[in-house]
Amino acid sequence: MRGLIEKDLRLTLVRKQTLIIFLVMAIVMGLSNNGAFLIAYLTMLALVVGTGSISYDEYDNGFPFLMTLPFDRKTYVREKYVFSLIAAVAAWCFGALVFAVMDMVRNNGAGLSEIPMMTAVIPSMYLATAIIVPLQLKFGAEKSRIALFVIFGIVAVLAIGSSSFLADSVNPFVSVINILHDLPGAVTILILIAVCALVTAISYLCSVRIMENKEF
Amino acid sequence: MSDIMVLKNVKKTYKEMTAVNDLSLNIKKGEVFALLGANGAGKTTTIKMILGLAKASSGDIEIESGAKIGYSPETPYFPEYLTGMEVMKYYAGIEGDKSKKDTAYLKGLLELTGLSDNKIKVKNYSKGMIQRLALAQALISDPDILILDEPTAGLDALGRKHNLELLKRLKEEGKTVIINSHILHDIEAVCDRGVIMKKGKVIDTWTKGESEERLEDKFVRLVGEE
Repeated sequence: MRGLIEKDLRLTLVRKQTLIIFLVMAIVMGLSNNGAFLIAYLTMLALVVGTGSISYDEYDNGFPFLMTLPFDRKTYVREKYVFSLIAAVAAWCFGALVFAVMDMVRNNGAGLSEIPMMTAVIPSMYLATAIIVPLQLKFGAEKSRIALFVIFGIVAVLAIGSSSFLADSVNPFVSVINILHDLPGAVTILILIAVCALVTAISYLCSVRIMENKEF
Repeated sequence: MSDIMVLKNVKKTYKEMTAVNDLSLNIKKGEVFALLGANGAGKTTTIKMILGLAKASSGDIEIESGAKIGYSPETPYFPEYLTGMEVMKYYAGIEGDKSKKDTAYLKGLLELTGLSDNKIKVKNYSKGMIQRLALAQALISDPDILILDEPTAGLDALGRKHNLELLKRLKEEGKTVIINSHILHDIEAVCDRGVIMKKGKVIDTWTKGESEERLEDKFVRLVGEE
């Protein structure tokens, strides 16, 4: 798996324009003093790059060639989840560092206490990866975008529909948000991590199954 | 010579189309074996099944335990912003064997296929150079079985001669080579045996020196028949 991570890292580093955009965004957002947005945005971009590595493997009929190399399909799938996680954590750390430096310069570190709570960003954003990876493997880069829109569309319709027809007291979406809001921050983060781990585990099993049945 | 690969009654169907039908082959260790046939004969599907890229609908494919396979596709794609050496390091990295990442080893493979460790990026490579790079890449893991899809297609006369010499050398080293090619002169020059396929079936076999008839004539006679 190390070789595959190295491959994706090299491909990411080659895309210098993306990295420069990351850097400029971080500085601009750091200057705007919105730490939460800076960290969330960078983490999301990193996850887009992480899952985007599947599109790159697919590019120009590259999958059949790649899949003849000596690693199994399960390892390939596992690497995509691990690489996305590494990218997200690295981007989060970078964002947190920029935020911390800016905060020290401008507010004498008054906002540093917010940083631990911002770790919630990683599991929250990683949930999107857990949805995207199996879709990309099943449908390819282009069709998976349509599938993703359909899924988010259904969720949005359910959320909006439930708020229109159900009272807040019986609306499951509102109930979950209220419960999370009332819990201590650390517990909320732990719950998010647990949910994320569960969804990722299911997503991984689906992805392995998709990949093992895939023909090139 | 013992068999390194055996295909038993292999069949592959895609919905209502049968790409390979009841194919049985035995490939011996150290031989250069040819898969011959017109377009759509089932050669590529057979290679895909051997490589594990497609699953056989029925039948068995048995490969000697522990045998490593190297593959050079007909239309290889390499990241075009890398140099030849960087491509070699990139694939050696994926394969994960530390001893195969050694620069001198990879440089040796590039030179073996007629390339050099220079700063030219793949995007500036000719088709022939890319074909050679694909061959060098296929050799990284020091495979026991080498599967080459059209290894001399797109090469000029010198490139073809070089690749054919290389194949003979690999055979001398004991490697088993499976070639899928339309260039029958090249097949006659390097292959020991082969099968001629048509509509997913083996319609005849060919062995070097078995008859006076040229392979091309035999091929046209058999494949041209309705």
